[in-house]
Amino acid sequence: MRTFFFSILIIPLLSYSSGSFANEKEYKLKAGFLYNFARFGHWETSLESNEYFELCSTSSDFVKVASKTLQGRNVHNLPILIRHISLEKEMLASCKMLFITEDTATDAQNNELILLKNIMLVGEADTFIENGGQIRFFLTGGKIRFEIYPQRLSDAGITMSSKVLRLARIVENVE
Amino acid sequence: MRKLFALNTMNKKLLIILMSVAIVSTATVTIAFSTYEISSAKNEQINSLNSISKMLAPNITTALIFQDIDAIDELIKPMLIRRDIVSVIVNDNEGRQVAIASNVKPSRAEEYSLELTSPLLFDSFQYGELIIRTNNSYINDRNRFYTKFSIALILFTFTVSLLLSLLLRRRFLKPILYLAETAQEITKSSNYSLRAKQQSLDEVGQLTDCFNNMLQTIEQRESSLENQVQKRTKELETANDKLYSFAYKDGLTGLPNRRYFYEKISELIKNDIKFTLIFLDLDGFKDVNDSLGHDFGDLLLIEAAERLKTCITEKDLIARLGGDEFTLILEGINDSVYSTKVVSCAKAALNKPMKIKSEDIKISASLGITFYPIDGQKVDEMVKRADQAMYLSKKKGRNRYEFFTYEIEEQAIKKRRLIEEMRIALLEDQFELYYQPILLNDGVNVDKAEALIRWNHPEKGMIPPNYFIPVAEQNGLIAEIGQWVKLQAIRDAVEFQSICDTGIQISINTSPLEIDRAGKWVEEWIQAYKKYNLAPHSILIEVTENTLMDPNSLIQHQLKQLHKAGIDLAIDDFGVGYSSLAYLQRLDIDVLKIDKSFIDALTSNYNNGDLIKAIITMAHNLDIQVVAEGVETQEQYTRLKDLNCDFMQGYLFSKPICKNEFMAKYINKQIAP
Repeated sequence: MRTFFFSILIIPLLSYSSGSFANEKEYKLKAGFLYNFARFGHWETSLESNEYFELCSTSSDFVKVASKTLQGRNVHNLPILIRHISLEKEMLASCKMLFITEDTATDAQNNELILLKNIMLVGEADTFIENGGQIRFFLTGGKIRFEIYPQRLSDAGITMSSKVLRLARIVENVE
Repeated sequence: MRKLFALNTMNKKLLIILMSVAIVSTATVTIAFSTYEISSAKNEQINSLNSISKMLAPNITTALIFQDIDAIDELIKPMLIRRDIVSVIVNDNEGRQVAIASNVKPSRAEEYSLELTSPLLFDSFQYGELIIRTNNSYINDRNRFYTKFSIALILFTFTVSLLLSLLLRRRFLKPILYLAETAQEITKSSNYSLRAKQQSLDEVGQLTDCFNNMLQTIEQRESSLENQVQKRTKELETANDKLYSFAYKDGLTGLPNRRYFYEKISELIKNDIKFTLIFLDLDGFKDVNDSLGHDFGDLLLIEAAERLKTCITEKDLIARLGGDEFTLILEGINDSVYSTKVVSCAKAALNKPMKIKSEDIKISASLGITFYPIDGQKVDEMVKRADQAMYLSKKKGRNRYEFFTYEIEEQAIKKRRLIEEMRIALLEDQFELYYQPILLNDGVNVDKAEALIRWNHPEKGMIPPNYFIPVAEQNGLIAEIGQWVKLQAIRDAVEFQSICDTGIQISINTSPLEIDRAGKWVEEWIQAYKKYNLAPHSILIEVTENTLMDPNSLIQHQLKQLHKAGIDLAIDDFGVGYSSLAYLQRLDIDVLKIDKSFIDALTSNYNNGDLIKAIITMAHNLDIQVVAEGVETQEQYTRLKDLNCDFMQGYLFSKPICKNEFMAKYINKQIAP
């Protein structure tokens, strides 16, 4: 039922693109996308030993919006836990997904992200993929679309469902 | 055309059967298959659409989840490639249309025949629905396909089965057709020696065997039948020959018989071939038969036939007509020279003495000769004339031959006419009895009168008896005439009796031919005598010596009976016959009538008087009275009177006169004093 409401919610939000309200809406939508990426993604290391499915973000705004949006949802039978983190190794250890908003992207431009294993890296910045990201949101025709670098996901020990890959813009050989 | 389609041959029938089986079975299978296919087409369509839905649903669901309408469009548009899919619609979980792909104008969006709705699920949550709408084109396509398929299959089957049937039929029917052809040939030619070759080892082969066996049986039967027919034909021919022999041959002599003879001369006359016809009758054959027996007669006939054969050529014919009658036909001859040669030969051959059963027999023959076409143009004429000529030979003294002349025939015609006239005379009472008085030797008193028949012919006048009596004797009429004479004489006697008490004895001549061996004539006399109550001795019956020739004859007994009945008997023409005098003593003869020849000689030859005297003396000694016949002169009368002859008769006293005159002259005269 909650999923149902979520689905209903995201559609009117699609028309907003700027401003805080717009950001909130966008974050909500993106939180929904992230939630669905998590659902269609497959982590090679078992998730069963974890207590939560941790969705980490460097943006506190996003965490706020996402916490609301995805409250009570489960991914791979694990309740979602949305955490605000800094890009530190220790902080990242339990994260299964990391969303780096555009405003926090500079922090992440150290290319170390590539080394992270078992963490699905999603970002917004134009160079996010060049900087080692795996999935990047972009806007086209007023709609949020995304591009995926499957090789990088695969390198991180994650596979994305082909059904999602069909919807994405596939990125290859960015090195 | 009609003939072409008529099922009149096995060929056509078999073809029809094979084709029918092939077409019906193909049609049945095709129709059943097509029906099944068409009925399952809808399910297939549904299944097919379900499959497509199931294949696309996860992707569409994902696209719906990610709100990627373009992706949804991309996914559903290719579905329109299928002709039957009219439109594909994706609705969100609230029923709002998210995407649509359609082949038809929006105005015709509702024109669909099937709608298939599939839920778009992910993790047991329905995010929307996929609606696929179709028309009937799939089913119609299927229907069209199967119709075409059925037609094609049937056409294909028809062609293939036709070809196969033609091939198989030929192979299958060949032995049967060959058999039929052989049978037909046998029927046409009736040649049962033909055989059919065995062309297969199946039932037709067995049939061929049976057919050949039947033919063999027929052939054998026919052959046996033919033999039987030949045998029967031979038997028939033999029987026919026998019949022919019976029909055309004389059983005794082996000569052709009467039938053959008639056919032969008929044929000759029909073909107008000249010939001589000779009739031959053996003389005295009856005497041989009577005296020596019929077996002698038969042997004589056989011998005669053999002898006659020596006188003819192969071209001539000799036939036995029956009895002692033979005929000779000299084909191609009608001249007297050759025929005279033949008849002379025949006569001479028969005249030679014969020895039959150690008996020497001498015979002769009388022959009559006629020529075709000179003497007659018809079978009957020829036969009759040859017969007439032959009778002339007999008449002229036998052992001779006569050629037919028309005089003979004329005489025969006259004779026949005379016979006819005699019959009429009897019916019309043209006969009359004349009486010649027989006087006592005193020359005055009449004691008897000889009744003499006269014929008052209406045209020819009075006819004397010597003119017609011999003819009557020859033709059997003498019995009837004798009967008339008898009756008339009796009536006259009664009349005479009624006038004159003493009466006058009426003397009546009796022909030897009237006298029958059974004695009927005697009975008739006696009955008539009784009937008219005649006084004894009123009638004197005159018989000739020849009648009494046979001393043991029954006639003597008959004469005795007559005598007993009061009828006197006289021997007429005494002295000229060959009789023995013994019967004069044995029989009760009352009167002897000395023949006129003796009386005529009385005056010319004195010695003759001694003979008459001796007769008279002998007669008187036997108590027999004597009548002298034919007394014509006074001298004769005187001599006879001197010789003590009892009665006189002759022209000296009176010629025969009619009854009335006789009565007037002699009976009334007696009454008068």
